[in-house]
Amino acid sequence: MHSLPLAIIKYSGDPLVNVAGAYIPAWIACMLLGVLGTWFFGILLHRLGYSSILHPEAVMIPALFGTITIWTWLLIFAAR
Amino acid sequence: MSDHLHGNTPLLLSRTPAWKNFFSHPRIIIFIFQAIILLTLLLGAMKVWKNVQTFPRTDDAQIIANTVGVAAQVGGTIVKLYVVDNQKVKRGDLIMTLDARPYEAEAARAKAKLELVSSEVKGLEEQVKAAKATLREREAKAAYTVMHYERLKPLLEGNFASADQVQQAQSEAESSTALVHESEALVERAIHNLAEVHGKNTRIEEAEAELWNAELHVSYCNIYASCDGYITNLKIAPGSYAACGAQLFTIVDSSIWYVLANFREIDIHHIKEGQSARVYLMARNRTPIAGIVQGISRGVFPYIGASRATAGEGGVLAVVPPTFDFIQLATRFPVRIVLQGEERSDFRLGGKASVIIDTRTTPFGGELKLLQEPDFIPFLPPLRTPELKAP
Repeated sequence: MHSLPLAIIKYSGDPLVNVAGAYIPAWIACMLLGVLGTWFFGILLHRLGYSSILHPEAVMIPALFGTITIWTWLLIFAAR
Repeated sequence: MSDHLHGNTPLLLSRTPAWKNFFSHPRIIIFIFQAIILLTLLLGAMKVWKNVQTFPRTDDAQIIANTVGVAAQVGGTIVKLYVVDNQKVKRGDLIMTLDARPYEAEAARAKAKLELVSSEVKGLEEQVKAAKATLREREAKAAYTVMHYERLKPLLEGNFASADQVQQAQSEAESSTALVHESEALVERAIHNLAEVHGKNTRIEEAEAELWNAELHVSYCNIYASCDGYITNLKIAPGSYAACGAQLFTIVDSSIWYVLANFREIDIHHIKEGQSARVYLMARNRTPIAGIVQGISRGVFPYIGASRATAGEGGVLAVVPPTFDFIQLATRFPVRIVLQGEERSDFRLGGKASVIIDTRTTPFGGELKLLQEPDFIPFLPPLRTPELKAP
């Protein structure tokens, strides 16, 4: 519907995301993106042959997940 | 995969310069990427913390407007309703009319009573005049009898008057003096009966007050809107009985719209009056409206020692339940934010909103739609002169 920059301006700072009348907190939406992003990066790094970046997995996978989640929030939902 | 990389290393070494060789070493690249991820995470976390501290936010907020309950000040059957549900009304608009006949009859009775009392008062005034006239007559008589006695008394010594004559004159003088005293008391009594205090007759004042009260009751049969707003929850029709003081429906006051946003006590100390707020109404496609923090609540219903079921009976304190049971949660206090600018079509009392407060702004520099403009002129319905009908 919206191009990404337009969406960023429009939804900037809004703490809620509307899913068919149910309003979920922005950080949950970001965590969902974090999970998907981590999954995507895992596959990408594996394909590129750098999967050992994610070792030790117990530290690096949550760190990657946290990074994607936090920066998604900062870019889209942080108040400016 | 790493074996595969190691297998390629000799080939890369032979083709690339030394610095590229250094960066293409798998261990270094892996370490650098790992460091980037961890540092970005740390930086992001710090930025999030700072952002949340600078812009406290809540999604537990509702649009609120003041409400005015419409109730009849006298009991009566609703004869006519001039509004429909959800209609916008202006202050002073006629909303409905009650059957005024009993009150008109009462007003007629009070008016007749006023006339009667006026007539009675005239009678009492005449009584005062009569009493004064009697007093003057008796004073004249007494003056004569006293003088007569005074003249006769010296004549007794020379036997020019009999003792009987003198005694008769003395008793007549005393008797007429006593009659003067009686008459004086009668004048006093007549004046007290007339009951004039500070140049006004209290009987007439009482009757006038009764008439005024009856006229007020007649005027209460026309019910007017006491504020600009919207008729809400109108579920009655003409013919319903409006009991005195019972609320019939509500007017949502549209002059000031505000948002009550519940903020956790840990965020409250950043928030100050006059700071600007961004209010996102769920109803209006997520574009923010500017608001100003009017104040922070000093108290909510305390849950300690009280059961959840009786919370609503807190009465005058706002009830803000915590969202979980098993962890001690921060109490949330309502922060009142006045929405700026014109009223919008999607402002509805109870509508959900989320709020972000910009704690960098103190006080608000822009144009301020004043927060709660107290209306010092109370609304008084116009007094209709009762059309008194002869019974």
